[in-house]
Amino acid sequence: MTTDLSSSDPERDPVDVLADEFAARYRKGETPSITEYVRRYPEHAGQIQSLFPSVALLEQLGLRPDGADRSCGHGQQGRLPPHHRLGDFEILREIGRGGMGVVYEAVQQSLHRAVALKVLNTAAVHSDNQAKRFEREAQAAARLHHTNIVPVFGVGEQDGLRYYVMQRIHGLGLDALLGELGRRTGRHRSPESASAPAGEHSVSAHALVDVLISGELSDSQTGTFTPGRDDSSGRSANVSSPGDSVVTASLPASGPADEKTRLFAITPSNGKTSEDVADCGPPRDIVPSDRVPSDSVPCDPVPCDPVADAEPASRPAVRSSQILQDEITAAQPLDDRDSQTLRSPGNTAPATGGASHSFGRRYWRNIARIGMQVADGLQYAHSQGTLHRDIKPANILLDTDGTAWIADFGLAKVLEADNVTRTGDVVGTLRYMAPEQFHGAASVRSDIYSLGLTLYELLTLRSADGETDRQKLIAHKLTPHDPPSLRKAASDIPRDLDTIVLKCLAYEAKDRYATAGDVVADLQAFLDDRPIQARQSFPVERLWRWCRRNPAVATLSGTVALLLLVTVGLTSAGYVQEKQRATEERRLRSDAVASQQKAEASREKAEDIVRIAFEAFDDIGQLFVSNDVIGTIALDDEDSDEQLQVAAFSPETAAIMEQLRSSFDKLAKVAGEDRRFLDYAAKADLRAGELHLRLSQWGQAEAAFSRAIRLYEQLEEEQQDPETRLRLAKLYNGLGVALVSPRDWERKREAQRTALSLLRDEIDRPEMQFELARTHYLMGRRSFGRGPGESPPPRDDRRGPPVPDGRRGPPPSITDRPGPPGQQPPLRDQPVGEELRDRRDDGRSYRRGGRRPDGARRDSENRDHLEKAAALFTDLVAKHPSVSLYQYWLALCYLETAKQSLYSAEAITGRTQAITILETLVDEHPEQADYLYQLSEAYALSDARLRGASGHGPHRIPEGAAPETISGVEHDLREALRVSDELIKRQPHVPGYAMSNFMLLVRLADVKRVQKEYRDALELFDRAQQARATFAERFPEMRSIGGRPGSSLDFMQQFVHAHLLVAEGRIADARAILQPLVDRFENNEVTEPRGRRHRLPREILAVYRLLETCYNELGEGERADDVRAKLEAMNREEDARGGRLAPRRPPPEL
Amino acid sequence: MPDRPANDPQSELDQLQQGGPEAVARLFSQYRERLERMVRFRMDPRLSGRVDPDDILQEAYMEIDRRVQDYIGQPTVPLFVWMRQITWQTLIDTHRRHVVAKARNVNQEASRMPGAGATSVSMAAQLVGHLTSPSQAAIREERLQRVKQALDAMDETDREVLALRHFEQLTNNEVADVLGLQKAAASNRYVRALSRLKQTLDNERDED
Repeated sequence: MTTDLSSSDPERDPVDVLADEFAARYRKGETPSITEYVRRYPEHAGQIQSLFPSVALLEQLGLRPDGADRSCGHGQQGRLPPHHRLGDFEILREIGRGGMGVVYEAVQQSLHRAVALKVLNTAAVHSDNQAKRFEREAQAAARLHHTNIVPVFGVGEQDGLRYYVMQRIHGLGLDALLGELGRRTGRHRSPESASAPAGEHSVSAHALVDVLISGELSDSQTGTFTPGRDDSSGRSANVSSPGDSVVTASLPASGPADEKTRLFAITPSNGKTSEDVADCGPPRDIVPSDRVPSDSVPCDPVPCDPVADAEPASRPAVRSSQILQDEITAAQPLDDRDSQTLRSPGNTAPATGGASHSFGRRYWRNIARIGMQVADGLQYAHSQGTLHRDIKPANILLDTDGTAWIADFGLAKVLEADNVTRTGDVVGTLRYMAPEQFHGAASVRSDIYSLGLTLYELLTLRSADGETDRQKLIAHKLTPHDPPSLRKAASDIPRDLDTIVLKCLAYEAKDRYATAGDVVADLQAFLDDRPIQARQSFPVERLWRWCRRNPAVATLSGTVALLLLVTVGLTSAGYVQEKQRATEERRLRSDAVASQQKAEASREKAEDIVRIAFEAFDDIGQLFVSNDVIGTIALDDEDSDEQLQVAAFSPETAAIMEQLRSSFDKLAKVAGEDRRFLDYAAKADLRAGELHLRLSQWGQAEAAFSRAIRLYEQLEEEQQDPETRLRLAKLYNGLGVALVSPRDWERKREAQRTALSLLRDEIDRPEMQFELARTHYLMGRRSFGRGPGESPPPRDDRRGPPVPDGRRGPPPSITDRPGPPGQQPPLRDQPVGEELRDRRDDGRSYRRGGRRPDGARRDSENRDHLEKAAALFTDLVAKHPSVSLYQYWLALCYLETAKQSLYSAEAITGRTQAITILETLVDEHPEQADYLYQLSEAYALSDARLRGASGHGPHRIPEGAAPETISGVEHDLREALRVSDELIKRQPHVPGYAMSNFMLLVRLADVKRVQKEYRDALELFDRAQQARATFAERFPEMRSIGGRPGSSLDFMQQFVHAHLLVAEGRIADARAILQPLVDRFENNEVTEPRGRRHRLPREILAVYRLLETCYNELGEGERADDVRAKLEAMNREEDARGGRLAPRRPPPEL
Repeated sequence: MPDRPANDPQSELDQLQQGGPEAVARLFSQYRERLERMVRFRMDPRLSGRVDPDDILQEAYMEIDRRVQDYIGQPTVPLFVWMRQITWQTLIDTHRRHVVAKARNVNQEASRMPGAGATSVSMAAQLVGHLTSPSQAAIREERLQRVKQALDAMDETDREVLALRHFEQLTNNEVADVLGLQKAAASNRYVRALSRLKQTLDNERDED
């Protein structure tokens, strides 16, 4: 195509006309040569040379990469024919093709040596500046002289083609070896295996892989294969190469060419793996065979071929050309295979069912040796100021001696910066790129990352980034993550090797090895079975980073905590070791400054470890104790009037907390031995104590808090520091909560008072004010086991065991000795849970029992504290309306007030205020289970409606209560149940929540019974039974809680059922239920978890009455009379007791 | 091949006058590929997910059909250039409807509305649009930035000349018509723009 400039539009600039033609050829898919234009239009040579590269650039940018606008790739030069001369070089044949150019095998005429020649695309070097830059990089690469770096002989330019001359290496790219390895394990089902690859290539890859698996590479930088097994020794033993592993530049290999050498030297590999080429470039293009002109295959023997020279009889060149034919036809599938190897570990893995390949120890060690060689080469290059930027299997060659060679130094930079790399070319490289390289920041550590990925792939035969889709791969690359352990893919990979590779692959560059030399050192240590450097701090750092990056996940995931726990032992041990080592070193060579410094550094490292570990744990610990969320839920036990303490977290969480707690204990112990870590120790103790509290481990909590307090006392000088005072106050408050026994009453008060005094002066800071308010709240809370997070009701030792045995129960008194009621004091013998009832009795019980002379005083004290707490919380809420924690605590405060003033107007107000706040909080933070739970609690405080009522147990509707009161209670309970249902839907594994839900059902059922709506009541009892069954199933260890068959729940249910039957006129059926109930009662067979049945009698009277009715209805007067007699006896008994059992006078109603 | 073989303007005019709607359709379809290239190149990337270039072309075609009599009455530019103008206008209108209206209250992206000054933005978008994944975008960012900066640093007309010639693949004569320049001026301008681009690229490279 020639443009006749003279005939073209005279108005136009001739260069414009030429550029137009040049561009048009681009659009047609040609790659016009600038040189050609210079030659054709010498009069415009200057402008052509100067401007056409820009035209090419614009055209490349403007063209669609999907090929819509072009029929074939542009920017590629055509294939250079054999015998084509480029300067001193004569092309023999093409042996590889990549984004940046085509690689040829060539002969340097002047030196008569075989070289690899990479001819760069015109587009790759399209301006003078770029050309200069390319030369600079090539020169830098040429200065690199290292056993493991493919020597670059130089660069040149001829006819506008720039090329790069390298030593030809007789070996295979690691990508080819990966392919072979994949075939062996069946991991990579490659088209190649189906398409019968060129036999000799198979042999060579096969041989190399044999050696990798069962031979042994030397530990030196130049690897030397040691044959590993006999059958391969025939070949491998001979591999010992003609001359050095570094083929000298001067002469072709001249030693007696054994068969092996010949195979390597002559056998062309597939285009991608380039068996004897020092280049594998960035991912090669697929070279469709139909585009390869058949006449490009060299047909003549090449006289300078080293092997041909050495052994002309074998006519290797002819064979070479024949094989080359095969190669070309195989090029497509081979490339496919290869890209699949790299690209789709994901879809090959399932083929083996995830089973790990297992080449065994020799293999791991050989790969480690390769890694060492490459790292050593990198270290050298880095020390010379040269980065590789494109380390990947294809750029690492393993020669027949077992030496690894890094190819293509410096080229990536030229390309990355300036070349218009075509879409497909980038992909292969992408996989091995470090994340930061996507942002254009390459460093020593990026090369280390790429090496890490290469090793990962060699060791596991799968890619660390298992993404097959390019876009997903990118997204994956750009998302912070840590690579999966290699041991997941191959479980027998040595742990240290795993650690080394993972350290190379840390997402953050700063977390990787600092230098390639460090990689060498650790790999060497691994090979020598010495401890590696990466080991000690790495897991902690890794977890720490993980937590940092995934705060939300970390919050939710117990796994993190568990992982941390795994490392805490390690860390503590590591710390201790370091400490010991440091001490030892100091002692042994206290005079040697250097070693002291070393010891110092070692100690500092230890400190770092402690600090990192501590911070990580503290954060995790915070999750479990934050906001002072409730640890246990206190529930009024239907059966015993005792309060049950049921965990407000799932058993899994409890397990984690327990482990965390023990970690904190350990940390505190370890850190406490060193004065510099006292602060950590104290903090760890605080956390441990808090966790103990949540786990209801009162004694241990007390110990932890006391220990921390003592530690702080050692730091006396810091006492004035407000931060320290705040922490101390927290500790004292914790101690106060932990002191649950009545014996410790004074200590408890003392602790709380100390907390108070520590905080009193300084409430200008919100956290101080908060803690002060909390202190008041704790002091104002009904003491001993009546609040969230506190103890189960302690037994009052002064009054003996709380559980009276059956003989003292009422039934015997009825059946056997209906005599003096004074002999049955079971109701009075209630050591715990008494306060509520006492208060409800308007102080009567104080009078009667005389057990709490200071009760009234304490009540008013309590109220004082609660008022103060409420005022402080209110103030905090006003000042910091956005902090839900303050609102939550204010609500708790109101709730506590309401609980303490039940049956008064105050109770109603407090409860309403609490509900209002909690409703809002639940709206705003639907995810907070605590808020939901407290809301349910507040609603369930329906006793507040029963103002002035007395003579009934907690949550009991007094007989004769006004219907509107009862329906009010019902409404409350239904609301509470609604919230509770929501709660257990979200948190089905928290026993406390499940239990609370069950209790509400029972209470509601009871309300329906009182309302005589037996059908509803029965239905609710059914639900309660179901809930109980679920509970027992879900929490087998807590089966006994919440009633068992035969307990009062069953009793009540059957009673209600009987009522229903009577109402329906099925008297006989009712009697059939009632009589056994009475019998069981009289035989003392009503099992109750805690043996006390102070509630039952009231209902049992009703049962007797109902049974009497039944007998009368059935006309069995005698029996009716019998029942009647027992009933009266019980009533008499009750009279004697003060009328508590069956109140004659209806209590005052609201 | 200095210029793409173009229809004879007079013959096109005759066809339009005599051929009616069929002629409009036929002639439009002749230019369709080039118009589509323009649309793809000029379209705001934010539009591309929502609007198909086909839609723009269809709308443009209807507008061309509607206004063809005006053109026949006063054919100041070759038919292709006129069709390109209408398509361009259609694109601007669409852009306004889809992007600007929505962006107005959200952010101040309205300034990115295409216009003569937006060529470099379009160019950059063109380049980005060609990359099939964010990563490649990342990889080429440096180069993109360079080209973009180079283009930004250029005179507006120079920039437009380059865009029309290389991204829209217009001929010199068409560029002259679109920009209202003499052919010779357009040609000189193009060569000058090329050398400025080279200069800028070289300078930037040297700064590295």
